[in-house]
Amino acid sequence: MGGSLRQPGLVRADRDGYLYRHFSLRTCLCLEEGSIEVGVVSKVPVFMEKMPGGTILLTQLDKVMNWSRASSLWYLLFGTACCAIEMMCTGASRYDFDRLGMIFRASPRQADLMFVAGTITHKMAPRVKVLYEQMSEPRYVLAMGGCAIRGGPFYYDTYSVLKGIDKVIPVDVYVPGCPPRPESLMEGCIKLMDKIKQEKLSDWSSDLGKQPDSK
Amino acid sequence: MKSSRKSCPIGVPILENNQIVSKLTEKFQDKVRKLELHPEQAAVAVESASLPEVAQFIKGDQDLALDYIMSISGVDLLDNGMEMVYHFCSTTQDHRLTIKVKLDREKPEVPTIIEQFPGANWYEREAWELFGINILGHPKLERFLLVEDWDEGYPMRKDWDEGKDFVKMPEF
Repeated sequence: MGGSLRQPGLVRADRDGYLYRHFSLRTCLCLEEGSIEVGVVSKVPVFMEKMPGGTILLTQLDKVMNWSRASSLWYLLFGTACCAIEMMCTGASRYDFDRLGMIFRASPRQADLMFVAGTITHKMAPRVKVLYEQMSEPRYVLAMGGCAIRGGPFYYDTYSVLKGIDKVIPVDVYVPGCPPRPESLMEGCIKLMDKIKQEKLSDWSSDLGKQPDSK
Repeated sequence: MKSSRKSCPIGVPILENNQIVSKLTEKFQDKVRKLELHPEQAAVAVESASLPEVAQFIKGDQDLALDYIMSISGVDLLDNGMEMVYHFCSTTQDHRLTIKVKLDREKPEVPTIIEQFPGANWYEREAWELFGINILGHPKLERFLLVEDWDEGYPMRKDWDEGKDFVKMPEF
């Protein structure tokens, strides 16, 4: 990056009357080159809030991080019933999840998103929870289809089916259907991306962020 | 009736259904009774106590050679008690046999046939787990379909509605 990018941004007043410097994205990245803020950047997000003026960078980092997260949702290669077939179809060439930057990832440790695609039985639920806990944060869950949301057609007169995956792990987006069509699933993913883009880094910097329901 | 079936590949003569049944009734007399289920199905009712003996015979007999257990099912008949239904078939000859064992619903018990048919192991565990049918002599009666700490009865019985997560279908 050249020195020409090292220019101060605009100075604006927000609605609360505080002044903050508006850096462009490229100007922020320039801080990597030997400036004193490098140490600050390397400790994002935990210490960033505590630094004077840190919120200037934090605001921009929110956008960068959220944009990168939302644009590269790697979802867990995992499905339990007929919804998984619809999920596979969405990942295949006709609907093509890749154009949203989404690819299958077979390891929970490197996946951001879990589609709960299909019926979850009481026997299966602890295993799903283990998979969820193995995913690193930030992690997201999309409940796909009637079974994952509320037990689906197995709601009544059954002994084996869990009545909603949100009894075990927190869910970000619900996609109804039995099973949902690929268009619905993609719509759900776009909703999730919108949700990710609204997140704040400070939400993740403390232990008070999202926690799975203890059960 | 047999004409639609292919003959046995190794050329062993195939027994007719009534021949299978009559062979069993002659051998075991009053312990085995013929059942009329379907014209193409050979079926007998067997007393609970003599089931291993019958299983040994149908497997070892040269003509019957019923050497493969296809399935074992528990059946809940409410007022009429319970049943275990065994489906056997022969891998060398083209015939099948259904055996039904009548059980007491209050105390359902049936001897195991693992010694004769090792493939019966999981079927019998399943019947024990879901119907509460006690399998006498089974070496490992442990749960494998339900959760390990299941204590809500036997969910495949028709009158089962006691689970804490159970929602009964409303009547319309």
